[in-house]
Amino acid sequence: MTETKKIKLMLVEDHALTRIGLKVSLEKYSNLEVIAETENGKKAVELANENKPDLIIMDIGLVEMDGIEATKQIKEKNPTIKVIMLTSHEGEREIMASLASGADGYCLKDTSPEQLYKAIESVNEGNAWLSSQVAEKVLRNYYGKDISQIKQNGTSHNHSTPILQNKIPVVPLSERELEVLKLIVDGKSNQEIGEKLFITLATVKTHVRSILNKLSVDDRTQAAVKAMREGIVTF
Amino acid sequence: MLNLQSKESNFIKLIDVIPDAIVIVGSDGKIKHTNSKTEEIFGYKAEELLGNELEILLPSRLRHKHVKHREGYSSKPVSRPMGSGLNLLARKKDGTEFPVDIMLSPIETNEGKLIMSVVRDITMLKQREDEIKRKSKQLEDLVSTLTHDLKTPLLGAEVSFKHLLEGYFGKLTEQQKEIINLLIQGNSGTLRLVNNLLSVFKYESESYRLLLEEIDISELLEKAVNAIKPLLNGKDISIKIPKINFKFTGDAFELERVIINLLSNSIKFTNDKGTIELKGIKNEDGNVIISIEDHGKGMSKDEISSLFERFWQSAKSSASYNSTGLGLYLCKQIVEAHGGKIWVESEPEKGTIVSFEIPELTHLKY
Repeated sequence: MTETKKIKLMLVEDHALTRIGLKVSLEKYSNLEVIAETENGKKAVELANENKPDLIIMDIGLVEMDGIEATKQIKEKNPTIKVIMLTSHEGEREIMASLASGADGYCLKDTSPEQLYKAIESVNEGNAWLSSQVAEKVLRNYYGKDISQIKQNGTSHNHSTPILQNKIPVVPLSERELEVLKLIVDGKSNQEIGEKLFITLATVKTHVRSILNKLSVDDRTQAAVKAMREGIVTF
Repeated sequence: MLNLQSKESNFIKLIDVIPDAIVIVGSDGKIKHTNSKTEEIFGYKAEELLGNELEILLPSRLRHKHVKHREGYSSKPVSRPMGSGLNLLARKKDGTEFPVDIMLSPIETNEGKLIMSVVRDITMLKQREDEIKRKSKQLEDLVSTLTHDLKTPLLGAEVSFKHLLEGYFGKLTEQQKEIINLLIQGNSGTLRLVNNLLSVFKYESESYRLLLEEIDISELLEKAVNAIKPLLNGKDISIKIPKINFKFTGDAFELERVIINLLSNSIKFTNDKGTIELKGIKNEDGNVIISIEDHGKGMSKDEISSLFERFWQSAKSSASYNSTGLGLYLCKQIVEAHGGKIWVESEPEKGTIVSFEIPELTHLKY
């Protein structure tokens, strides 16, 4: 591997131990190079402008500016810089909110270094990436049923007027995109998804990109950002 | 037929002791009778109400609409709650508005067919509901913060311990390695406890949702068995799954979690040798029962009764099992979230059967 082919990374993470661990894990791969790191969202925007990394690994909770806003600002000025949100927040609200950043990939902190490496390579090539855990939260958020509604089901059998009308959820995804999303949740690779749905690899990738694009502008995602920023969650 | 004329009428006496306001109107919407509670709640004297239109008891902006509703009801009166699920408001003499529940019933009297409204002041109930909602929201926010703040250092430490052990930061002595191994063990135990605790809150939270989809029973059982295979290493335990073939609706992720949990318990309590049977059946009514049977240590009646409580651990489950005491409680939460139930049959030294039932939920599937 020659020097020029290395992927230049920037790590944006407020927890020092996590940042160090991440750096060590990633630098084991000979084609990855960490050229900058920071715990501060505002600083991340400046560093991105100065250092022009190929790809940024971004946390949500940061000093001064959250990772969602930082990603937006970085993408506005440097559309070619790729961003992977690596969230340590597992709450549905935080994960849904992170989708508003317009990042290229979404992973959770418990993702193994091998998986993260795959995500980095794929995103660096221009593809979108959604980890199965994040995909599951998305699916649950849009298609899940409230527990209270399910429990009611058991007690309302004799009800003459069904209170449980199957409302069609307002979902921005097409049938095909939903199928792709479900297979991602099942842990299938793009290759496997293509084989299963009889579509080309390129088409699978287009679907994943389109899923992320649609989710980033959806009302529910925007509402999650608002709720998250209003919540007591401290960054 | 009810006699409303006489003050001595049993009916009038009866409604006067009822702790809800009762307002009886004619088909013209004019108030014909009230009870003492009506005076108390609304602040009007009975004679101020009698002969007036019922709408006097409503906020003025709602009156016009109410007249139409009332006329609609009068044409086809049946006993039913009024506007169930809606937030109904009433108005006191001094103009104060307050939330109410109203039950409507037609009654046959010597004055003809009248409509009786039983009005309950639910101000306190609403306040309590709002308080519960507020607290539950606060708890969710807190849990979200805790998830992050508790897990971040644990996950960070896990990675760094691994790197230390690999010698990334320099070669280690055997003793240093031993200490780091102990740190790794302690760290992962704490991480597991934190994860389980957070799951308890997750399932208790109002906003948690189940992802109901069609599940192939044999796929579900096989997946769970594959996931626990590492626990079988070094043990002569076989897991049998009788051939079955049906589909049902449930949350595949969560149910897999339940089965994995129950299977790992069975493995813990089966001595190094034995058979565990994993079965799924579908009843005629569409309900599905999944059961896990082992021939391990079994349990006494006393132990069974407290089995599904939080933090319960069998006396037989020593610390070496690395139990958090939350596993079965989580299983119960997940099954109950499906509207189902979970139960145990066991005899000491003979074995244990844990079963859970998931009701037919196909109509709720997305």
